[in-house]
Amino acid sequence: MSRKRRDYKSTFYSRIENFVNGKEEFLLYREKKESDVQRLETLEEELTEAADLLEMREELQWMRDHTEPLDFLKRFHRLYGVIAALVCFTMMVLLLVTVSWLPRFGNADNPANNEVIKRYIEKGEEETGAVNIVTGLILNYRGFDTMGETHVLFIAASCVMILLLIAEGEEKRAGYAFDRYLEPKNDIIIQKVAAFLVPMVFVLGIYVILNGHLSPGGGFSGGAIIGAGLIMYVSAYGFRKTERFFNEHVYKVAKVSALCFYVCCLSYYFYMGAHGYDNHISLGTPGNIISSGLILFINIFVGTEVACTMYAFYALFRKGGLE
Amino acid sequence: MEWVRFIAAAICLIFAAVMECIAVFGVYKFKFVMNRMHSAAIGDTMGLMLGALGLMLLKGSRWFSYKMALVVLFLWMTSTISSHVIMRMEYNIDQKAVEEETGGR
Amino acid sequence: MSGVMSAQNVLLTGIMFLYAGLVVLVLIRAVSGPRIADRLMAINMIGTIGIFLMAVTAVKLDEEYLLDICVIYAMISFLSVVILTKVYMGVHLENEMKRQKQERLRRESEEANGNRDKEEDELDRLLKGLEELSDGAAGN
Repeated sequence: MSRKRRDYKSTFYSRIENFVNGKEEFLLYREKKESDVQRLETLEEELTEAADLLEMREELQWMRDHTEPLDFLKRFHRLYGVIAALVCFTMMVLLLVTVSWLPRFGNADNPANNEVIKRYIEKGEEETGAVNIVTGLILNYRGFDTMGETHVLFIAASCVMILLLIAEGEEKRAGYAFDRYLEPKNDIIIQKVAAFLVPMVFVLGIYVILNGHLSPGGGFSGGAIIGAGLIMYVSAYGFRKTERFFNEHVYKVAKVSALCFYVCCLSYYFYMGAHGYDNHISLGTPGNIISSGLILFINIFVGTEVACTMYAFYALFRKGGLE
Repeated sequence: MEWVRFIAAAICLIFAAVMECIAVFGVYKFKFVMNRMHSAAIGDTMGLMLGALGLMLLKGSRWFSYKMALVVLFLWMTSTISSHVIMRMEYNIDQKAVEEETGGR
Repeated sequence: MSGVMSAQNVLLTGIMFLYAGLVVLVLIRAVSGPRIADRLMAINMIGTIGIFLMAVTAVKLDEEYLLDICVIYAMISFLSVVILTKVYMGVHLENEMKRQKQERLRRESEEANGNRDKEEDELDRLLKGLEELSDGAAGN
């Protein structure tokens, strides 16, 4: 009557039992188990490879320090410095002139002290449909500024990629080897905890993003939470497992499409508002999840953008690449 | 009835504060990192649990209790792991000091 | 305001002041801690106390959404400790590797120098012997 042991091994409960005893990865992708001898051999190989690569890295650094740049490059750098200083100076003068046209700071009659705040507080909920006035303010009244900020994030991530991305070759392999060799990896305690915590963190981040117009939070903070969850996953499981679901391709697609949709939404608002048309988007009843027009969608796009940027910064500074 | 609840909450909160004080005292009293870590864990677990219990009793709202329980659960998981991680770093970067302190065991 | 509410206010304010004092004490430990683990542990403790202070503030101001921030803060402090220890261990090991390599190189070069000196001594001795021999031959 009772089950045979062989039958029991293939059931769901035996897998749970094995997971509790630490014999098997139950929740996650299972890798092929290596025997101890094989593991030792691979470890030794990695060790010698890492030692070689360390020497190579030092040599590369030395070569970089001791080679003279080309002549036209030198001239270009000098010219570049001069032009950069000029551009900065003109921008400074322009901004200072603009500031001199503003009303005096701290004056009691300034519009910022009376009308603007009054309008935001009194009519904010009615006009934007968001219970959280801050979200309504930054995504609706000040949508233009927020769009600029998101672009700044995008440009910052691109600049970090230009500076730190290691395309291919020996250096990339060195980065991988060092990431695996020098730091503690595959700590089973952290892995078990991360298996429970990371989904919780993701759910929390999604909650913060979706409730952006109802409670404190929004795209930026929720995206930061999701990015932190990704970083937690990486620190527990290593880059190789993370790249199965979040690699450079996913990063590019998610980031660029989020930015494009965001710009589309806001340009629709701008176009309609500037021409004085009705934008045909109902605001819904304040307090519901689906309300306040496009703010919910804009929050989702901003959240995607911020999460991708957070993770990309971490990965680029850690090992110089997403893949 | 309100006063009874308040007094129970106050006892919990005061015990939590005492626990936290003991933790800070231990952090100054002990001479070695791992002993200090042990006393800091008192504040992280017992102090936080008693404090959360007191706040739940004081507030008496259902969602507040759920969220507070979530916070306690989260911290019980993470603070132990933090201790483990710090301990591992301490052992790896300076094995000699640790072994002297623990008698080579 | 009822009696319970005012008593609650007094209690919560007192606890907040007490915990603020504890934060200062732990911060002194973090600054003076002789080892890096002391500092990390103290920062972790400050995080816990800060989370509890946030919860107290949530009760005092009657704003439940502050507890969301508690969860996020707990997560961030955990993440910071994990990443800091990981990075610190990596940097330490790399420096250790470099130091050992330099030491090995130094020892090797010293050994090479020592060998050369020995060879030179041998050569000098041989030459001296030859000169003595030749002197002896000339004298005879």
